[in-house]
Amino acid sequence: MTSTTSDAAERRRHKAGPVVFDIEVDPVDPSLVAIGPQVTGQTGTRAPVRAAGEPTVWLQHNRIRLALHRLRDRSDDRVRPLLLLHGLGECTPADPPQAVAAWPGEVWGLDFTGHGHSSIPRGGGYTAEILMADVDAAIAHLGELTVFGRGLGAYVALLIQGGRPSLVRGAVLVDGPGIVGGGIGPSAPRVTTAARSAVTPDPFALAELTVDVRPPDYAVDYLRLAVRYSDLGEPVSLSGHVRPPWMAALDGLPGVRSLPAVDALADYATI
Amino acid sequence: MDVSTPRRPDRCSRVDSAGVGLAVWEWGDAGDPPILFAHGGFDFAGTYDGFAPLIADAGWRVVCWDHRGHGDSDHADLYGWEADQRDAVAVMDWIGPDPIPVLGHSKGGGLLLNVADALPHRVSHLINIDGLPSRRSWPDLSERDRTSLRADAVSDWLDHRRTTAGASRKPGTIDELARRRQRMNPRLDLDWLRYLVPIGAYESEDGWRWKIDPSMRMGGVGPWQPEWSMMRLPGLGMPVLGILGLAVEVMGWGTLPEDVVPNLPERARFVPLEGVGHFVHIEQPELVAEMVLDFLP
Repeated sequence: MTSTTSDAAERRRHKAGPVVFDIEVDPVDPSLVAIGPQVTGQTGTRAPVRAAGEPTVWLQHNRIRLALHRLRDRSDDRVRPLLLLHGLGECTPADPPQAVAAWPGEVWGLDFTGHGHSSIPRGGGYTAEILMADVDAAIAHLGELTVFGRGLGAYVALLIQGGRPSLVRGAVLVDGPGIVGGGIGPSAPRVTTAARSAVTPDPFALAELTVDVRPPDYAVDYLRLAVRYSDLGEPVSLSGHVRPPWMAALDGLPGVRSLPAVDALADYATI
Repeated sequence: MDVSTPRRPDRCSRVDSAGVGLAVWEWGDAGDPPILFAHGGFDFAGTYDGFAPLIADAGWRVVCWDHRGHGDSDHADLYGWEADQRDAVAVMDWIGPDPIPVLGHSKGGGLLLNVADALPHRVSHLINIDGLPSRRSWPDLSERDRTSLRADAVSDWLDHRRTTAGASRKPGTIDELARRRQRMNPRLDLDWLRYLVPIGAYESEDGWRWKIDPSMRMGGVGPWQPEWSMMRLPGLGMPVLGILGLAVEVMGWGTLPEDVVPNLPERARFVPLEGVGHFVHIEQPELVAEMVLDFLP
């Protein structure tokens, strides 16, 4: 070993902050990203058959085309939309679940990348954060909304509540597939593989989003974003039974409450 | 130019990784024993044009792929660590079933470290060039400051994702692209960076653009922590050579020898280099080649 002191000393002094590079990109007009309602070109094949006349809006998220389904019209013009986020391997249900029956606004459901009618990426590469950006594409179209997430969708609901705290007016987290994720830290070494499929759910989504790491302090960071930048007193509602470590870390913290989904939604609908 | 006699690869092939086409480059005789190289983030195989010929001329078939979204590989729909690992194994499978030496710089070093840990039967020797992240470069922040930082990072990233569909990189002259790159590679000679432009960029009517996918950007969001990479090191059973450049620079991790030494496996060599930056093999190609060739069987 031949190290001397000057560079090493400089490194000890050096505490790099976030590095922001000029990414040398010509941005496009965000208004061009959300595409209006269409009925053709559906790419997934396992989503439930929708009744005639039920609109699906197609959203472009980078190279992925996302299906955003309107499940129910509003009964009260003053209430914002509710967006359903499905669990891992699921898709938007044909009918809204009973828990959201009393929601007075529109009810929408988003098929995540590689799920339902949304397109299947080549070669995987899924992260929960990409799904958060899927939801952000829906927010760009719908505006302010409340989210209701099942399983994996519950985790994504937490992320987007923290990521867009002024636009997401409450996140209700309930049980469902993919709620646990890959644990609190790196697990046994592995190279994740899957067989390609032309139909949803994409096997790469199932493989990769089963093992995505969800450290409790990372989840708490998103809760803190929600609490600090949202004007809701309790923006996150834990309404399921299962408490994986990332969710258990939220339980009892300021900004979080545990109550049935019906009650949480009734409250958020009045805000 | 600070890299002696750069040389373009002798061959280029296309390897499919679950639908993503990877450009795979080779220097040296096709019949020589293979060694797999992995480049760093925002680089491409051509950044080994100075270093790889030194290894190839010593009797090795050097194979290096452009990571998905980089260089001449396909722009993928999604990017992630799991996907990059899978791509690495797709290239290894294309080379053959026998264990081979692997060498990675920066992100490529971390990537191959993970692959060696996951598939030890595929890796005979591991060479890591300034690819051992440590927590040292992460700022110590109060909870409030950390929340602010996270808020900016997440909202910036979400804003970025809203603009990626149809985005393209800024055009410029060869000199302009080289100077932009020098902001990330400040210790590298401008002539070397100018050399890289026609390889890593493409020319259109309004100028040159880097080929890297415009949807990619430095510093995404996610739960990853630098110590997750270092924790893979102690358990490795194959011979390991770690080379660390100690001069501080923007793309480096600021890792110190004392961060690495306690984690070295039994059969490891470790060489911290004073006065050398993150791009160790570009600043000191002959020195690094000498160390690598001495380490290889």
